[in-house]
Amino acid sequence: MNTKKRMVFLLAILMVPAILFAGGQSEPVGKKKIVIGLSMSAHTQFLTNVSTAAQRQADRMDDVQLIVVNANNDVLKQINDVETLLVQGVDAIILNPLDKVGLGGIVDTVKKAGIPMVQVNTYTTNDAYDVYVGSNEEAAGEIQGKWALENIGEKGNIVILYGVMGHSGQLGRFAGLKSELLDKYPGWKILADQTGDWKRDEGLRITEDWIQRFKKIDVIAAQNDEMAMGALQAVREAGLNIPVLGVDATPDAINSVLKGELALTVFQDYEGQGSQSVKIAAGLVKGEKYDKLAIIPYVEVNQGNAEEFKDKLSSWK
Amino acid sequence: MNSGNKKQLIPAQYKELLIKYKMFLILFIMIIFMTIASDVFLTPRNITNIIRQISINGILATGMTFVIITGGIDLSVGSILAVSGVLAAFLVKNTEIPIAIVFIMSLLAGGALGSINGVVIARLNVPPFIATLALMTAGRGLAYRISNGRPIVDLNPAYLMIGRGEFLGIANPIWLMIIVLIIGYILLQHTKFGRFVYYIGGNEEAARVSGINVRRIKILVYTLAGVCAGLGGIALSSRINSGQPQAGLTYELDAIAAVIIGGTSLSGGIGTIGGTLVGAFIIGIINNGMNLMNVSPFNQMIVLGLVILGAVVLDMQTAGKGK
Repeated sequence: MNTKKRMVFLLAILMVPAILFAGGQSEPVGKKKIVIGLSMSAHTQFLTNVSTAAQRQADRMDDVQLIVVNANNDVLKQINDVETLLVQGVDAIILNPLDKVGLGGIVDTVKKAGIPMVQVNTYTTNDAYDVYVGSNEEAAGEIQGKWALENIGEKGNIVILYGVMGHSGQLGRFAGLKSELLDKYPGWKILADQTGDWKRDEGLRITEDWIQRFKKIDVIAAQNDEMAMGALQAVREAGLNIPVLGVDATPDAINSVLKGELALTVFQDYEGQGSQSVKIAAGLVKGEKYDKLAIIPYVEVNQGNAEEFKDKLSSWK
Repeated sequence: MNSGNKKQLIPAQYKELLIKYKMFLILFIMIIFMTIASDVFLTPRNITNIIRQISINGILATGMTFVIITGGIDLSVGSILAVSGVLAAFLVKNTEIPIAIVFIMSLLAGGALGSINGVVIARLNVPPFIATLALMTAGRGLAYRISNGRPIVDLNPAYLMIGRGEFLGIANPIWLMIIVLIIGYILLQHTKFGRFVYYIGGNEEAARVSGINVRRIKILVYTLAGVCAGLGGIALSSRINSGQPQAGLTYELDAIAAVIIGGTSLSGGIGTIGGTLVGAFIIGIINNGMNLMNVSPFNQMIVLGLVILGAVVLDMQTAGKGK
């Protein structure tokens, strides 16, 4: 390769970032906006819904600009993401922490920088943040527990698919299931429990193995819909009829409930979480006061009310 | 040697320099680009952030440099980092062993795993790609076993000082990276060991025939990479206050990328610690820069992939012309 070709090649490589960055920010001149940095933890369908809802809220408010970054399931990257937001001089930070403990240090860093911090959907054990906008994770577990009680009885065999271990959702939902069902009714036995890391293919694989191992499973409680859908596939492929419970009320799951396949999912109001976090963050910058906990309620979606839910969701698209 | 070329854009001796130090040129161009693109890029705070953000990769990449110069590769450093991290967290949380001893034990664990790579590669003649791939998988399982599948959290505050503390105003992980770079540089450029590493990478058969104990050097090189990964695990777990079995996923790719972008050739025999540092910086600046410019997370992944590809292609094009 001669010199000229090499030069062209090098220039071409440098052009790529230029083209990608060209679509960057064009801010209207004049009005000073409140800049909010949103640090998301990962790219699950649910979390993408949350950040989209946040962006929609920011678009509705003409004095707010939202910068969104995503840590792609890497704690260190999320720490770096928040540090970079701080360097950019944002007025407030909304954090969707990947785990409860690893982000503790950065919470202090943000507070030391003197700007408000809102945590959305999951929270850190370091409670130095200003407001937590989310759903009470225990409630989702309780709803699942109640369903098992009402539809199967005071005793039975349950298997549990966990989300990523240590995640506030994983811990909370299990706590709710335990307090509502397992502690109160010792007739309920956990045959097996394992983490599916919130993933559908993991839910499928693990459930396939469980179906081989256990003769009588009365209910499969998955901590999110992705894993529930995987478990459901395993159950149906084995020709069995074991009820599967999920959490999140993703469109997939709602359709499945409508078809009479998935027994239950619990709606986690991503619209409420996303929009409230932006509203509250902007309000904090303006000096407004809020309670520390902004709880967005979970709602049960079962074969009875699934139709109504589907309509409500399509109104948000 | 260039033959049959017409007018050359750049005189021959400058061209050689340019090729040899191409990574510095790229780094320089990027810094200029980012300074224009963002008015917070060149601030002390942002620069400090970047240096701290590349420190763990810098540590891993130093060990990786030795491996790649010998013509090998190590895909297991991410898993070794995880094992060392959960081991340290486990010991710190559940035993009374002094933190300094835990530190050493985790380094030794990393070295031990690395030496397994070395023995399998040097004695059993398994290709490095396969051998380290196997350890990457088994090592991940080991990390899950030690931690029982869940993160070990809430560690001793004294331990956290390793990852979160500062000395003379500079964050500890940066100090660790500096120390590792210096040791790596001295080992590579100023010891017999380093010279042998280059010879083996240049022509393994010739090195063996001339009396170098190629097996021993290879085992040492992979052990070194393991120790670096072990140190990385300590730095990470103490920074995020948890020993996570899933830590370090894809970290081996960042380390390899830093080494390649820094001028080390995948075919072996060429490479420097300084180049690796520049490579790590380039990656760090790209990551930081894309964040500052609000490039979407999906585009960020695409860009990084293209950069690595570009670096390898550039390496292939200029191999043998800048020696």
